Amino acid sequence: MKNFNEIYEKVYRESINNHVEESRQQYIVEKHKHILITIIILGALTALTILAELYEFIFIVIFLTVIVSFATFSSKSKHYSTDYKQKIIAPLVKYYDEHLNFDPLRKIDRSLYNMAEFEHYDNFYANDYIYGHIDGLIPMKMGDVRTEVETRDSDGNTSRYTVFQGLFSAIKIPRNLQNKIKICTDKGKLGKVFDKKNYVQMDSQEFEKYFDIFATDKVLAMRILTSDIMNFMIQFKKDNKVKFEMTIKNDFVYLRIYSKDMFEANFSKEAMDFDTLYTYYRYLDFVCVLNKMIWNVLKDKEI
Amino acid sequence: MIVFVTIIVILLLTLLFTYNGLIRKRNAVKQSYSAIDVYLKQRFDLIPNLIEVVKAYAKYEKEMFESITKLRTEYEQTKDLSKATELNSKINSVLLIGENYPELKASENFLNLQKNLTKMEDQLQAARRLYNSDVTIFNTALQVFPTNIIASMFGFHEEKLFEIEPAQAENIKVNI
Repeated sequence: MKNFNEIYEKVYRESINNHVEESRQQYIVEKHKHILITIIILGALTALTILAELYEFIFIVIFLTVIVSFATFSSKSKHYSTDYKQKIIAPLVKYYDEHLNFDPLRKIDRSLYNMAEFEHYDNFYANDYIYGHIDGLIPMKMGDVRTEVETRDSDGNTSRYTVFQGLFSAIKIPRNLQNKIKICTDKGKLGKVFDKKNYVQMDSQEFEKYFDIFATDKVLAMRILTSDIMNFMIQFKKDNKVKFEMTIKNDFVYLRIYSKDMFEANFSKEAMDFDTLYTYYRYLDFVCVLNKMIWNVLKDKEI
Repeated sequence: MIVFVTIIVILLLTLLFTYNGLIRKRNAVKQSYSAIDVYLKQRFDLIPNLIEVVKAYAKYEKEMFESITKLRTEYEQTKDLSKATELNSKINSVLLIGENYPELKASENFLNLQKNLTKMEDQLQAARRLYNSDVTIFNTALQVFPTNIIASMFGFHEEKLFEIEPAQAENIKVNI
């Protein structure tokens, strides 16, 4: 694993050879052209419709023109998006850890997500799959996930709302734990009432401020959550102000971060935008380092 | 009259909730102490085996074995945590004796004991952290206003933190 500046330099060199930024700029020029052509065609068709006195068709003509224009152009934006992921994100992941791979077209298993026992959901969407072994040693699967819940009102109208959007990872640990440990963002006094029996009061006041731990074996939770691990989690939480949760169960550690949609191309920013790529690096690094710390603790311990 | 009754009711409710809160906190301390006691017992139950195995290779450590046996008996009689701390560090010392006796270090029995004792030490450290966390919460409750008044009324006392040395990494000096 290398530091970000080193990785950025390498990805930057590759991106120049692969003309990623050029293709983004080309996309923007084409977008402007496309909008201009659409306006001209729209104006001409509207004028023709008025001249032919077919006023009742005006809205249909406008609607169809916009739809056709949007459909023809969306394929071009998809093309740049795929290019960005394959030529910028994939090397970023590879240079971070050569044993990890990135595939934007594959997705993490829904069944794996379900095993983490987060809240109920109805719809599951995923993409941007990262897989391999952290440091060539720890099996990891990770990806972008979005889950939704569907609700129906008294008139039978269905509405959907997102319950989780962000990164989800799962690593296989060298122990099969019989107990479940859940690390959640601090739920406040009321949140703890529902599972008071399994609530673990940790010996770090700062950790307690940010997180709640629920475990069927409290001593095991204490053994796994060493002060190094707790401090690392606190630091990430403080630096990024992002919510994350963890479940340790059987022979897996599941982690999800409310990071919103990750690894997506942003047309308004340069392909090699430093801050954007640094954010992706930080999240990837957090997932890998935290998982590695837990894996090492479990590897060294007799459970 | 209504004001007076309201004040009395509020005071009684405060007393009730504070008292119940203190009882709950004290029970949490007792519960986490019982976990420590279980791990200490498990660890100390291995003492006869450990002495037996080490004796065969390190005959000159007689004094240490005697003091361990004495401390164990004292702890079982008094359940004094300071005795447990001392005994625990003695066990860690015995484990380090292996470094000075290559044959002992290679012995399968000793290796198994070492593995079990290390696991228990780790469990004990975790249980200690849980216990100290509960004790800190309880003791803080006894010090803040108005809980301190109610605590002194009902005879609640501060609990002691449990400090136990983790296994030493460095070797110890033995009498050969």
